[in-house]
Amino acid sequence: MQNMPKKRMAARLCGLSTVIIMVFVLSLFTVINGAKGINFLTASNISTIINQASFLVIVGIGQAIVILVGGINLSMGAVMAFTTVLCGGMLLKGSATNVLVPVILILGMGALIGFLNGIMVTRLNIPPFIATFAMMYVCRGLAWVYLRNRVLYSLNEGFRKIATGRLISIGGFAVTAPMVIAGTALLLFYLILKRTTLGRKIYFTGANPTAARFSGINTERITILVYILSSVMAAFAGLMYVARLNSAEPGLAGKAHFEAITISLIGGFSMAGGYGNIWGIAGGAVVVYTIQAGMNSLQLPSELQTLVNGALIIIAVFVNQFLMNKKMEIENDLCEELTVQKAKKKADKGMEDKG
Amino acid sequence: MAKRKINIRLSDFPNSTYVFIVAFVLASVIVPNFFTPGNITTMLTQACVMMILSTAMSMCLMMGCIDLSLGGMVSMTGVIIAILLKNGVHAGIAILAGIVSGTAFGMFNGFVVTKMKVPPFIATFGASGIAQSIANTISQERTISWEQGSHVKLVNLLGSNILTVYFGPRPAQILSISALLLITVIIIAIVLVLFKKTTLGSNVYALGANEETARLSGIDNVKWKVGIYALSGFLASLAGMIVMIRTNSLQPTVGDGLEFQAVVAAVLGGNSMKGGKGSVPGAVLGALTLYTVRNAMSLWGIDTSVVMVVIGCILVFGMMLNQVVNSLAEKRKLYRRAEGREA
Repeated sequence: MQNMPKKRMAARLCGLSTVIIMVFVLSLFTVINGAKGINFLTASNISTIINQASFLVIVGIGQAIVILVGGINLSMGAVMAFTTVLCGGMLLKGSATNVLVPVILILGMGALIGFLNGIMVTRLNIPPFIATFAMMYVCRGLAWVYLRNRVLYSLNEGFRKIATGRLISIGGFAVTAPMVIAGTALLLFYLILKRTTLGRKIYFTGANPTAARFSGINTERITILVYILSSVMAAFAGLMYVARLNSAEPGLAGKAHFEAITISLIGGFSMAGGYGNIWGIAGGAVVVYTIQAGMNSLQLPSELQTLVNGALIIIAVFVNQFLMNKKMEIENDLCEELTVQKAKKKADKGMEDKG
Repeated sequence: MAKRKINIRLSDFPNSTYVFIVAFVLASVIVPNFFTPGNITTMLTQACVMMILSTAMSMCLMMGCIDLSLGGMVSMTGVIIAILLKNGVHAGIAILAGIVSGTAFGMFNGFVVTKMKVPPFIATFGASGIAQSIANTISQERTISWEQGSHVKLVNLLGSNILTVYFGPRPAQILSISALLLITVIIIAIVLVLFKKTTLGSNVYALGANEETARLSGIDNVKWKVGIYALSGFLASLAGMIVMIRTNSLQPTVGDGLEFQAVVAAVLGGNSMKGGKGSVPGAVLGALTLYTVRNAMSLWGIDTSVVMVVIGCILVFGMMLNQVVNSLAEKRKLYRRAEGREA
């Protein structure tokens, strides 16, 4: 009985697995860089990492909510490319239309693609992997068909502020617009997932779709809605990527969906669905870009970087999975102990009553 | 006693049979140069790699896993064989080295998935990065070619045609069966026999349907999973060898994206992503379907990006067709059961 608080602490600690991995990766690269005489842990460096991670956070949120309902969205990168390529002409510098028009069009198109994904998954019963994979092919192909080998270059300066804008800088640490956007998105989705019934329904649908359906949740509608949200996030991320690159091209974000899946898993989401905390996405994205930035400052050759990246990702997901399982074990133990205690108390009470 | 009827049911064939037949007939009718012996030869030779890879992928999918490192392994093993050939090692030893390395890499995948309990999707994705990186490092990101000599005799032998049928003088009228195609067919046949005649098939299905139940009923899940991943690596290394022999040189990025084509082929063939279902011949036919469509569209002079869109659409329609066939079979089964009860 005495070790209950200790166990509770351990469970809490294991729940912070993403943070542990983040600290571990950061200190690893600080030490390695430090050995070579490079100061990795500077404010400006961290600011750069977080700034880059912010872009991925947007994609990651979109992926994470789909993973929450037990699906997967492989079309995200293609949606980012397709929507921005199609409306990119209106985003160019000399364009006469208001910037808001293409932005709304792009987000709307994202919603439409998400709706199609949702319909394929729910009504046509196509597994999410295949449905979104087909959508990826279609979107990417159409993007190439539409633009051929051209690249839409030099976009509206005002629009580019969403990716390049700086708000304040405190001693080298610059707070940029993407950070604010990513933070807002995280907060928004946190509120949706944790504070509304919709969020509860999403978790429930992911954890056990049959049980959710029998308890009166319209799981089809929830799933479609989640796919729509995911694609809208992808389209939005596309806007941010385009704004950063200052050009729209059909080959944009070729591996974004994979990066998003990786950060979701590092962030503690389970592929089976129904489990995960949206803040983990931020941690996952920071981990991925810390690895990237760390290797860049070490000036590793690019072919070695893929190797290190692959290995570290496997290790990170392994550690996370391990800690999560540990946490569940401890929590189960705690639950059992609590029930035993309660039963004992009840029995004692019964004895007293009799006495 | 009732008369024994020979009835062939729709569901007896793998699902992709219909998609393949539709695609093949349409291509033959619409595209003028498609149904010629020469073109069929080209198509089959091109499809060799994908047929082998889709076999490997369908085994993994049936087991409820996925192997996204297939493409990376093809690059890696191809580069290993090619670099050994370039340095004058005997072709037999070089190919053996490639196959051993591929199998070992597959076992590594299996280890990560079973022992470290990393989800297969992300484990093999990370592994594909590792394999690709090994390929790039060894080859220094350059195309590898080798000089002719006595040590590459075996390669030349494997690259030759074993049977040539002349329907006419023009190249389009010559049907030739290459040794590579024969190897592919033999390998797939061996895998099929193993799958049907040994416990391999039933164990894979059992693991895919419910791993816990399979484990409790005495199937060593770790051993089988590692085994299947090793088999997948083995097949990938054979695919790497075939690519290398066919193109007579090797680019380190040759395997890029092949794993996804393999997934498409396997899924068109009726494999479910959840495991416990599917067939190897279906996956092979799925691969043939993909290459039929590609070949026909490139003969027609259609842009590759349009081909991408078309393949995406075919995937969706193929899945829908699969479901229609499945539900018809299901209905028939129910109907028959009801009949049996009445009688």
